[in-house]
Amino acid sequence: MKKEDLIKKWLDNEQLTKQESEAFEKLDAYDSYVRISETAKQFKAPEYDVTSNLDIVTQQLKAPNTKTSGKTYFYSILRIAAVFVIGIGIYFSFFNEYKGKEIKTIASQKATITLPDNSIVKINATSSLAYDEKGWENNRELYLDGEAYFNVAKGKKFDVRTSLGVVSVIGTRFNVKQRENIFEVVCYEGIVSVNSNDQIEYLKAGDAIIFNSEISEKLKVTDQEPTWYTNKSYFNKTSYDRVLKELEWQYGVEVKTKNIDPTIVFTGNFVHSDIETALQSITIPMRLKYVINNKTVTLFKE
Amino acid sequence: MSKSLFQDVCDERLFSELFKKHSKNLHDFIYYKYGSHIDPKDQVQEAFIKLWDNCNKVSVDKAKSFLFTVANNLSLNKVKHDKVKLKYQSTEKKDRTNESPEFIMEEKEYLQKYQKALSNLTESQRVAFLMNRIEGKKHKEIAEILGISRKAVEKRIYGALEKLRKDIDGI
Repeated sequence: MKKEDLIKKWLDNEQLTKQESEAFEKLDAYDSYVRISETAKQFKAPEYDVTSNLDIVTQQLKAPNTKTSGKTYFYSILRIAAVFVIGIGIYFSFFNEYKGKEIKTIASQKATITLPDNSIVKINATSSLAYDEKGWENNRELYLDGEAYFNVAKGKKFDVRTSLGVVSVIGTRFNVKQRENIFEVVCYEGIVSVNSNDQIEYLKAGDAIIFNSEISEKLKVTDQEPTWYTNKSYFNKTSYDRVLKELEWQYGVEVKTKNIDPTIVFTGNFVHSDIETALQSITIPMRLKYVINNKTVTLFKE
Repeated sequence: MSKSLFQDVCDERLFSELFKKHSKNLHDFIYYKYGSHIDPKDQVQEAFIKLWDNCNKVSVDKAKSFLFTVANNLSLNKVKHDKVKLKYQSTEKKDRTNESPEFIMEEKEYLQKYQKALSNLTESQRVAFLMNRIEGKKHKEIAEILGISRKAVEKRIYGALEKLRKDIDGI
């Protein structure tokens, strides 16, 4: 019998014949084989108790109902969570896209912004402007509360919406002024259409229109740019109460008057940089005095 | 044609029998192949649960190979490809105090060498060899468990023995 076959037979736990045993014991590596074989037993796998493990498995298999209901509970929570996630997602994407960008200026602050099509908007103090930045190419529409000057790039219809009316233009420069119930539009270049109270007016360059309550008044303007952007407010034969309203807008103050006729006419200007200078320039010519008390300015006649 | 050509295992008694018949072998197989760090008990449990979940698709005679394949795949997913290090039980016995320190030392070194040599075997060699030596299974039984021929088992075990001897004796 060959040596290899002998070892294989021994490995198969078979009874060796006497002759075979002797031959096996004579092998050089006999001691090694026996020792390897014996030592292997020390590497025995941990005890495996079939009965207890069967119990565990059967218990696990008998509990599928609770397991699945746990799952459905989890999934229903997932569903609710998903609704919230989608809702929040829609809210943010829709809201942001719809409302887009909003620029606000406080008293004594001005801003210049460039729209996505390179139209330029200069915003006067205490105004806010909102537009849809993403959809701008398709929908050139702005919401204005306050006063702003527009230099519009050529393109599709350009709408400025205010609470008092809509101004639509195609490539032009114009100023929109909305003050409580005064709505004033000045066109510096091109043509604009003004729609207020279902009344449509077309303005050419140099035309201005003022809607005061329901009365509209057309004027001619020679300026090339609105005067407010030179940091001054100009008035030409303007009623004094409108001058004071303008002051309130520019400086964010409250103006009170004593013994002053609001219908007197004022021609002149005031600066936007310093309230003292501004007050002096509108009171001294009218022989009036003023007192500044915090955010309230009182004008009175001596 | 015999009606039991396809008999599925969706029967609790049959399932218990399959468990009693195969779970220990499966456990040992996974242990000797991958070592203890993948929790062979859990793999066995998982495999039997999978068998139950798919009981109408698995016939009785395919159940064993299903179990071994599933358990093996589950273990493969868990196994970190480092060397398998099987734990050994120390032979120290309290009533044998007449052993010289040298002997104890030598014994310890031998076990460590043995452990290293075992991890150098191929997985199939190690499984066959240890099932044979430790669990005392005949070649034919191992061949049935592993689904291979008796000759292949013989070759694996013999190969393992020679490789161990070379590694340990440093030939």
